[in-house]
Amino acid sequence: MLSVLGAVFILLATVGGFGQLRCALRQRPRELLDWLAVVRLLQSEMNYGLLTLPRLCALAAAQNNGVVGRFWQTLAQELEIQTAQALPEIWQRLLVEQKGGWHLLAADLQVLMELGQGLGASGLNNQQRLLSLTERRLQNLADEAAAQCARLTRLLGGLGWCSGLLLICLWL
Amino acid sequence: MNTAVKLSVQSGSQFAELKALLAPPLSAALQTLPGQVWQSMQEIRLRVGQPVRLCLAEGERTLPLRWDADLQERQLMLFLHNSVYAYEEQLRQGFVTLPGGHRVGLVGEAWFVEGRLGGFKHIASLNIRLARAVPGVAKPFLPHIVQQGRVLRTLLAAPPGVGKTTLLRDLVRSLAEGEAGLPPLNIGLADERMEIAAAVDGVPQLAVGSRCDVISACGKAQAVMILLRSMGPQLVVTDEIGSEEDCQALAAALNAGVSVLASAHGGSRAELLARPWLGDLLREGFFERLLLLKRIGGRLLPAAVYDKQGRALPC
Repeated sequence: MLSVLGAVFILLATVGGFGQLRCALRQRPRELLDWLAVVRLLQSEMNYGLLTLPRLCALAAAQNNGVVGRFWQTLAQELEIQTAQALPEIWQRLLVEQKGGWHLLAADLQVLMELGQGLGASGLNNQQRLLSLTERRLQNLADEAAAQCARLTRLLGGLGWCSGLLLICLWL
Repeated sequence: MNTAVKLSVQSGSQFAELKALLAPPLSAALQTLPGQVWQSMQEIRLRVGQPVRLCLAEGERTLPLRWDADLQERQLMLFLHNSVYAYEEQLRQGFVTLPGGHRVGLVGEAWFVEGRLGGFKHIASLNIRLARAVPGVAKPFLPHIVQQGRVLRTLLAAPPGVGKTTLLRDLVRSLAEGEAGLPPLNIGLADERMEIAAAVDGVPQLAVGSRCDVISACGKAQAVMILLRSMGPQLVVTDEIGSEEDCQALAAALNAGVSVLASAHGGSRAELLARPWLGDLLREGFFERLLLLKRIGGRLLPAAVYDKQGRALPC
């Protein structure tokens, strides 16, 4: 009886452990999709509303939860107060400060850094070009992340079961 | 003339809004100044490579702060709330209106899009013009403008910097609030350069009265026609008229039975008569009053008053 319970425990532990990894893997495409939604919001509100960046940040923060929402909320707060730092510097600092919270890869962060360098700094046409380019790049990264995630989650699911069974065999 | 109000009267909150938008080094340099300097300050001039200069009512003052290109860019982005795209049209015209009604003029290297001025790059100079709401400044002028129970078609004229816009704004406020011995008037204000009402997000930043409809950043002639057609004003107000279209729009107001209050650059009647379209309006007796302004010791006073035939009246 004890050996059966032990085997079940080992199986649950390995499947659960790999399940955690699967959850973490799913975060990256989710964050990329959140960023994509923000970029689309910026595109439409800039184009049709001509809202200033602090107001756009507040809108983006209100429409997003989690780490992306927190980023925009902090940015909105920083832009509202008088600061010696320019927007690209604030943007870069916030991205780095929240690095622990992101599940994004270096390539993803690079796209976001480049967005921050140009955001708000030019006329409407150039902003639309910048946002379109960022949208395309984020979309590619999100597609790639989703495909990778699907592949790896299947692999990790299998690995959870296999490693559990292997450990049970070794134990018995 | 004892009732003349000094132009330096200023509410503290207007400065608070401006101070919140200044780059930290400039803000720190201005904080060292005594309060009376702020009260008499008219302009802050920021030129790349030059020290910051203040234009005060009593003269110029130089601050010990050398303004560089980085500071200029930082300052501009603070004024624009890091949103160049949202101010593109204003930038093309060479100015930005700030909360509180202050106005920033900017020039640099011009760039063109399809033959049209697209704006300026490498902004070399910023001129922050401090807006002044001086309630009561219009009081000595009202008896010249309001007669026989109506507002006469009036032109205010003075050289730049004397206070035409300040006076015009307070006249609008007084007439809209019924402080001129007349019932309150519905006023249509064509504020092309956004100096009179200084609307930000459509909301006037300076007191123009509660019965004033404002069209901002629109050509005067077009704005006057829209006001006449859509808002049914009893008085149309606009500043710095001069072009043929402006004069035609004012004539349209006359045809609609609406009175007109306008301002123009000019130091004397002869100078105004020499101007092509405006001179014609004056000769034809369109304006029932021409008020020339002067400023003495910070007080705005009538320098000369003329009737529609060009006869000088007592001030």
